Amino acid sequence: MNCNEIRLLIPAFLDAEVSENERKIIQDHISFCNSCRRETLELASVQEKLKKAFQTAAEDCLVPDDRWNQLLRQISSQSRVPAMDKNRTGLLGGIRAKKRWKVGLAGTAAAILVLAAVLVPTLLGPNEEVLAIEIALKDPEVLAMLEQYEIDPKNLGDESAFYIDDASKLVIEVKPGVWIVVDVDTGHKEVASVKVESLSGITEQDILELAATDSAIKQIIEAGARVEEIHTSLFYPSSLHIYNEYPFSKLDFDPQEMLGLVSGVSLTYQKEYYTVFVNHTLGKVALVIKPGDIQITYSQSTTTVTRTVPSRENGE
Amino acid sequence: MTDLIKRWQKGNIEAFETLFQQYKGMVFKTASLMLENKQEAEDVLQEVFLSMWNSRTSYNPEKAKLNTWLHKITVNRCIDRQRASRPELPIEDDKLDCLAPNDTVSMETSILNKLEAERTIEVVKQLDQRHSTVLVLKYFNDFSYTDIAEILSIPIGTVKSRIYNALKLLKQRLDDNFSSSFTAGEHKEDEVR
Repeated sequence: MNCNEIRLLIPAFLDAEVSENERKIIQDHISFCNSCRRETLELASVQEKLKKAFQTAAEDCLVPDDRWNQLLRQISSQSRVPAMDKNRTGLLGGIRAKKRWKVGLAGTAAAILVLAAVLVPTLLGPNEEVLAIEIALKDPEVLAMLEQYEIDPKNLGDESAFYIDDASKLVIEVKPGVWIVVDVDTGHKEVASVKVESLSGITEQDILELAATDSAIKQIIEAGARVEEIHTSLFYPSSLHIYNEYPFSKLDFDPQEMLGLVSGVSLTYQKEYYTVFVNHTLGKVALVIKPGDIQITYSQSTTTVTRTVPSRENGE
Repeated sequence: MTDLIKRWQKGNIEAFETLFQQYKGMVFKTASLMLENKQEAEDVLQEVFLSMWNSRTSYNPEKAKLNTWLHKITVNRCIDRQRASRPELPIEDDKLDCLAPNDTVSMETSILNKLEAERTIEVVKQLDQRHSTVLVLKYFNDFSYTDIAEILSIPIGTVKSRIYNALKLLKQRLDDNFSSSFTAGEHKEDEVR
């Protein structure tokens, strides 16, 4: 190794992040090379100074203690707002939304709901979900559905996930890929299920192929991103995560519209289509991928670009 | 811990609160070291845990440690903010609020140490975000190079060269800062590539 190569490894050498072989080479080198030895000492000194500075800063840094309640309020509002009418915002809006839901559920739920709304109006955050599940569990139809899947209602939240989604629907997962969905606004209930292998004729392999053949995603990958994984989770059965930083201007989008840097790309399966979310400094780009076409929409502008990719259904 | 993570992933708010209390300090301090002011760090703290709640089902404990995963979110949030606001951010009085002298500390050496630390961190924050980020992750969070590569989604070789360049730049900046404090009484504002 020459001096330049040695120098690049000096911090890793000081941080014990080099191999045994590299360590010996570096040690031998700095024993006879004055300039590299000087550089080693200088960098070690900077490292020590930096560690001390960070330590001092951290010791005096007081973590705010009121953030938990704010976080709960935010979680509550995000699960409620999207499905509301524009005039149904804030606390009253939340209560009104629940009253509408009540109509679709069993009558005994009303007393719990009204009581809770009067007594704990400031706790609508986590309680929104707690109330939702309490009310749902008073509903004979929901109970029957749970029984069908051999779910003990008392174990919800521990053994079975439940949440209120962006469309104000109470979603109870009864097994991977199967959910009981209760519409908060209408009280309508249904069992939703998803099976990646069969829906729309698209398989996980198709996502990989799509990523490999679509020019936009290809460019993203060629610009330095890597396909990190096909991730399977309970709610997004198949998603492709691509992470990296690369100049957005390298892509063939309108550079005037999309100046900035991309910080992440993710591709998620959403019932009938796949969406690639591209996070960048000006907002979010969504590439909605359906069998037969890819539609790209920019959240910061009205520009819409439609791409055509091979349809799995037509192709076979 | 595994049980706690499972309960959080299933939507148990109490488990989530326990994890919040456990990790909020590290997240907040990391954000404080990466961002210009305390208010921004507080906002990032909230954003990170909101994201943690919203993404609870997509976290895979077999793929990444929770600490690493949370720092990935934290770093990305901080980078987004740096890119969006750094050029127009004034240097405000509260920018190093965390380093404000403690009332109970009066010894001269402590004050001098704090001033030295303050100066060093100020210079770190003036570096390009790619460089300041690796310094925080390595020398504050003490992540391994492998973890840093995972958090930043870059090859480990890039981590090594980036840390080297960051330390060189920091040294250069500290030296400039030191000498100009004698000549002009103020530090330089020009960018270092």
